[in-house]
Amino acid sequence: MISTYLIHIAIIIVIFAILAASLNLSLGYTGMINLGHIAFYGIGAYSSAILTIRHDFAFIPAIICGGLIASVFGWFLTVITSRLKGDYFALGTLGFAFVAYAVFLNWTSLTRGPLGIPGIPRPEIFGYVVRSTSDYLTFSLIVAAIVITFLWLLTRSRYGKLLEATRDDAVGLQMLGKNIFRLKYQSMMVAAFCAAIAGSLYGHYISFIDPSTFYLNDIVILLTIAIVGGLASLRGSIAAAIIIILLPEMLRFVNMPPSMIGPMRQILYALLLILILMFRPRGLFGKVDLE
Amino acid sequence: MLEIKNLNAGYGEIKVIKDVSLTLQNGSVSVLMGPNGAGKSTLLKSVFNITDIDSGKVFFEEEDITRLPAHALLEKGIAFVSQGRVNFSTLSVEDNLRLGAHHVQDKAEVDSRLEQVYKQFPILKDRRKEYAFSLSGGQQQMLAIGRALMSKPRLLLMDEPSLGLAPKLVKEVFKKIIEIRDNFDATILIVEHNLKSLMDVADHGYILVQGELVAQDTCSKLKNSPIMKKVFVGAFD
Repeated sequence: MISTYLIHIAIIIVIFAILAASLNLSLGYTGMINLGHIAFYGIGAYSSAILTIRHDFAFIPAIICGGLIASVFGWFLTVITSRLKGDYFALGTLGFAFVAYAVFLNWTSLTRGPLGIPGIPRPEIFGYVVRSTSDYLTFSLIVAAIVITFLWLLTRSRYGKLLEATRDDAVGLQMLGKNIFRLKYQSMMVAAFCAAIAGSLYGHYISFIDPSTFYLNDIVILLTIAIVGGLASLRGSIAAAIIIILLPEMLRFVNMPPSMIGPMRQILYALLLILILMFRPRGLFGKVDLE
Repeated sequence: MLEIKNLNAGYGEIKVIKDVSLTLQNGSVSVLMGPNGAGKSTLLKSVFNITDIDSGKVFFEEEDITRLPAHALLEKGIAFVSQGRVNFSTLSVEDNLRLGAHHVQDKAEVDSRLEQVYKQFPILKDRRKEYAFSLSGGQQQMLAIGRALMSKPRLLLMDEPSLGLAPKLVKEVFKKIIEIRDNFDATILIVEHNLKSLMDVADHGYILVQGELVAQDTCSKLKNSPIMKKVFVGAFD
């Protein structure tokens, strides 16, 4: 019983590691203060759930389509926020997350609104159904390894340096003849694609999604992971995903009324964020200051 | 090499450059001088097409380059070192330099250019793995110049390379600029305030006052001319 619980936690950690690592591409490496990343996660989860249930898509095409749909929204988000900078850009992207949430909630013919979508099938890969939770852990670890290795190679490549240069000095990079708008939307699209993969992994694991999963609460968790781990550091995101997901789990083993556990989680996250900002403004492994 | 013909430019409604024409000789180091607000930087930026050009033309090696975008200019061999040591602070020195040749696909070519820049600025090679922000002011200026050199420019535009540097370092940067002209076979146009030390090493001088070119001559002649004295004492301010 306890092992099932631990495996469940591990799967959630893996999913959030992918999510945070992909957020780090746009937030940490490219320097776009994107607070709406959770929307891509939701778009991915909804897309692959709807495609597999209603349109009989196999798992792999569904997860890829989910990624592509999220990428299109990533491009769209960059286009509509292209004239915003700094705090305003952050607010614009946060607004995007709320709009996405409102759509999940109100487009009932597509998403069933607050009822959510139950019965999302477990992934089937070349005839093999990933049924048990331990298999699912292995499966998500493989997906995470692929996604994070891809992100790692990307950030270390020549192209990755362009993204980092966009963050350090966008005008300076324009002087070198680079189109920073294009770099920004490309980065956002890749980040959105990877976030959508995390979303699909989540949906097919829990087998039920509803709009509340992709709202403020998870935005806070996700940003806490990215900031605690450090900007522009993939290993930071992974390490922080482990810490931030595990930390509130410990509350389960303390004698505390269930009504208090929720608020205690929030207090813990807030405390952690304040401590990080005070004593380690670059997070665990970050190389860029929070601005 | 570079020819500016009857250029009128500025920023939106604000007209800064008024009917300026000048011609740069191949392989020369020219310095653009004048009081504050004369439009020196604006003229330089107009060559790089980052101002609003109202009329007039800019020719580079007989080719009309007015209104060409930055990447096209870079590929044609024009590089711009902007004011205030613009570097990518959390990238390493080497990554900063490589970005200067990011439009070049041939890896061996990029590596050879890198070696050439390291030969020109050995200190950058010693510190190639370090973050750009950890360099001293003079080294950061050399990094910015080095990055511009990575594109193998035939025309190098520099906006106040001496800004914020100690007098000793200023001389060193100017010495480097002359070396660059010889080693990289580049024509250089500099906007400078730090007139005396640069006048000793540069070939040509241009004086801009309120957006108009009021004098141009070789530096040796300009140095003792009455108009230079006016620039020195700030009679135009």
